Amino acid sequence: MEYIEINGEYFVVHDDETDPNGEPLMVPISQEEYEANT
Amino acid sequence: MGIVYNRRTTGLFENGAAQKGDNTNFGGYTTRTVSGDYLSNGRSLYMSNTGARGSTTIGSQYIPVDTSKVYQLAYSVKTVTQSYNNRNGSGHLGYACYDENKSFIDLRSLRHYGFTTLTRAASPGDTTIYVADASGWSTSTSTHQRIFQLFPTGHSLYSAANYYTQFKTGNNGYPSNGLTDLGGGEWSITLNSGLPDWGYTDANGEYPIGTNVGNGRAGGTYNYAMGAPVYPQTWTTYSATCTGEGRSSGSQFRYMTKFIRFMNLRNYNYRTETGGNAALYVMDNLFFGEIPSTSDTLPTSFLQSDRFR
Repeated sequence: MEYIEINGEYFVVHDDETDPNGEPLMVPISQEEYEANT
Repeated sequence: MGIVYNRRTTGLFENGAAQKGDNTNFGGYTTRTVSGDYLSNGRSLYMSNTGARGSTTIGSQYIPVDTSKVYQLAYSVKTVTQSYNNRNGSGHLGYACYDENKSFIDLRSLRHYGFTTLTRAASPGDTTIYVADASGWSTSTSTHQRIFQLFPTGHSLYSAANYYTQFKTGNNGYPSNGLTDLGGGEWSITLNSGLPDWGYTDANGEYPIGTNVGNGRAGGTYNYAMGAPVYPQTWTTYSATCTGEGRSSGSQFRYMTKFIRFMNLRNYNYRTETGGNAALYVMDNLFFGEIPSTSDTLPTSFLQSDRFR
C-alpha cells in the first residue's frame, strides 16, 4: 500500500487489489489521511 | 415530474432493492430481512462479511447509458452492526465505466495530458518516437504516470476525437528521463520497450506523421460519485447526478462510456483497523435512472420509500 500525491490529489495505491484491467487499485483519500501516513 | 420505471425494477438496477429475494447482481452482499433493516420488498442487500476491510465489490449488471442524458444515482445505506472498535460501516460509493465492448475504461486510456502529434513516422518495434511537443509529459517517478498513448487515424472507437484509446503501453512506457527537446519544434521520447504492434498501421506498416499521441496517466480507479462516507446507523441516502463525459473519477461519465456497473469499497475508511470484526451494513433501493434535468432529482422521501419494485 503506497500513499501518493498527484497534482494536489491524494491516493492510496493498492498492490493487493487490482481493477478489471489488472492494474493496482487507486483510491482517492483526503489530504489529512495522506499526511497522517507519510 | 415523471418517474422512469425501467425493465422489471424501479430504475435501471436489476435487483437493486432485493426484489428477487436474493443477492442477484450483487455478489458482494447477502440479504437481510430484519424489520427496520430494509426499505422495500421486505429485504435489503447485506454487507455481512466481518472481514471486509476495503475490498471492492462490483455489481454483475452492465447498465447501458447514453451520456448525453441525465441520470440520478442514489444508494441508501445503514450501519447495522459497528466494528469491534465501534466504527460504523464506510467506504466509497459509485460506479465503474465500460466502453461499447464492455472493456473497463481506465484513466490511462483517456486523452488529456501531453496531447501532440508524431513528427516522424513510427513503426512497431521503434524505441524512439518523435513528436511535436512533449513538454507536458510526466517525468514522475511513479511508473503509472508514464504511459505512451496512440490515437490512430480512422479507428471507430480509439481516436483523438473520442478522447479514448486502448492503444497504449503499460506503466513505465518511457523512463522519467526519456524526454528530450531537440529544438525546432521536435522532441524525442525514448520508450522502455519497442512500440507495440496494435495492428492498425498504414499501408507502409507505420503510424504516419501527424498521428495523435499522448501521455496516459493513472488516477482514481473508479467513479467515486458519492465520495467515501461513513454510514450512519439510520437510513441515509447518497445521491449524485451523472451526465456528460470527461476524464472523471467523480459523478461525470468517462469518455466513451456505454455501460456502467455498481461499485462499493466495503469498509474502506477503516481498512487498517484489523483487531476484530469489521462493521456490517445494509443497502437498499439502489437507484440509477434517467431524470429530465439536473434540477429534477428524486427526493429522499421517494428514494427511501417502499415503492421500489
